Amino acid sequence: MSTTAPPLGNPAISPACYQIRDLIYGVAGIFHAENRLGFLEDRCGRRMKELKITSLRQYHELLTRSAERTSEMHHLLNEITVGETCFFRNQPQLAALQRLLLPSIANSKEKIPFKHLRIWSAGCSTGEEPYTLAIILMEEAARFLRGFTFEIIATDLNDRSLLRCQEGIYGDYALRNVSPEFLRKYFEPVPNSREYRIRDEVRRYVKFSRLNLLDDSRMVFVKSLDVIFCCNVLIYFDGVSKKRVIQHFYNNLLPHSYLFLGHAESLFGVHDDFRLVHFPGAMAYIKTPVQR
Amino acid sequence: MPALSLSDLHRRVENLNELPTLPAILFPVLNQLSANTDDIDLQKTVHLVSHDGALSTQVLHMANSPLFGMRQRVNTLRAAALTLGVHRLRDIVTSCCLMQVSPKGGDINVSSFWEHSLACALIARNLARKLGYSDPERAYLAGLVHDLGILVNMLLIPAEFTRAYKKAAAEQRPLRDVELEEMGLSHEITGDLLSTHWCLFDYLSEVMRRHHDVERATLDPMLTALVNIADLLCRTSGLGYGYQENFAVVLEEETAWKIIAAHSQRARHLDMVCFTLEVEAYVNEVRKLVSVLFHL
Repeated sequence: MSTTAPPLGNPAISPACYQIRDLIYGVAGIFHAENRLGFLEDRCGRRMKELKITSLRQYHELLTRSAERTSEMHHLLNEITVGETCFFRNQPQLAALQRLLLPSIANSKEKIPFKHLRIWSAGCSTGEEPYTLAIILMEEAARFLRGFTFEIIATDLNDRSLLRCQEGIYGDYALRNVSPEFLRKYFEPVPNSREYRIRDEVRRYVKFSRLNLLDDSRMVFVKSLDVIFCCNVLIYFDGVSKKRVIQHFYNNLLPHSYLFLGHAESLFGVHDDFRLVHFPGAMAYIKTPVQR
Repeated sequence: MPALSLSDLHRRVENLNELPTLPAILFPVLNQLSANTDDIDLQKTVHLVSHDGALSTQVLHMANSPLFGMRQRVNTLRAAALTLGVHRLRDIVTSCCLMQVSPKGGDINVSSFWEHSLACALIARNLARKLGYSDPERAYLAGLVHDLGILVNMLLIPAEFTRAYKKAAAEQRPLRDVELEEMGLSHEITGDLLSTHWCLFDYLSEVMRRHHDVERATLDPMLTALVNIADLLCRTSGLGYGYQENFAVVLEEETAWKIIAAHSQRARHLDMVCFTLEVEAYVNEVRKLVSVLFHL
């Protein structure tokens, strides 16, 4: 996609902002449409304030020519990729996983001697989703997943979010859907605070790492997945980048495995080899073998 | 308990006068509204409906629901008729008349049944329009009546049906599967008997009989397939039979969808995620409307 800027762009937005927009798109595939440029300018402003830089043009130079350009791009990506989430956020989706997919996966692996389940939370933000998934798998360990080992791969582009994941400390807002029983079972109170820390028994199932979903060289290594959750991440991507990421997801999933997207996200016109599956109150995509 | 045989059921139908009867007003109204557009006397229709106070109130409530696309509130039947037009007025009058055919008492919540049927009608009509089916109003009517056999079951074989229903709800399974398991027959059979009793159009009888067995539809397979898909979408969107079923469905792999795709080139251009979100937007409105209609 060629995006560089203004003559037809918004005169209120500086040309350097369009250049930074293009730069981010090139590095991470995240595209800021015209109506998101104000947001981008605001997030650049935060970084500029910290760096005591007064113009976007100077900041663009820092991002392209300075020795710190790579680390500064990290900082900027941290500013623009902060997600809003909570534990047990999309309950119909989680119910579909727990009541329909886990029994079906367990059944399909019944005759395999080494039973392993691998779920990827792609765009895990501050950790609520992968820890929720770990809790669900732990709940099912004595039932559908008897005899299974399991792991949650949790990745995000945002370093700060990943630090929050590692800390595993959450407040009222993030915990609003957690039942008192689960709060006691899977969290411990943080002394002198109203916050809770996720217990180590949950944490050990989750492996966090920083990953750019457009980094082909690393995406190929996230293999043999049973389920991928990538909710409200691809909305930041343009069509071309979205296709690239979805193709990686397709390649990385085991046959007949599932991809969950955000509530209103569709693969229509993006990828033809997934089939849409309806669950009560939720939808997902199932990987079907290519028939050509 | 042994399964009921079809002949036992036929006997009950013959011997009992408990089969629901349609409100007498429906056929004259439908006759009026089915004439050529130029010959329709809306004033006469309004006059007919206004003779039935309860029906008039229901029609007005329904006409003012966002589900029927009214831009501004109407307070009289005449204004509703003029604003809605012939087709929508017919849909609304038919819906209200059918809703009056509801068993009273019993263990099963009849309003869930009508929520499902009304949602199915709206979805079938919407899908029909998107896919270029020639008569979307027919799809509405077919969606509305497809499960009437369930009402027949509530009336004619209440004990057996209630047992099957409770089991289906407890096990979160499709009602039809448990009906067959527990009673040896399902609501499509009894729906078919009702359609004969009421002398409904053949295409409606076919939908009532074949909506879970689409490949056997011969008169209007596309119509039966539309209702089948609408029914599945209702059930995954929380407007099933009053309980949440535990099931997953790949619509593209359903026979009904294959029939639709064979009849309509537009099928492959339909973004089913978007369409499902449209359906979900109906859910609360349908619940609200049916609840109001049942408490008038």
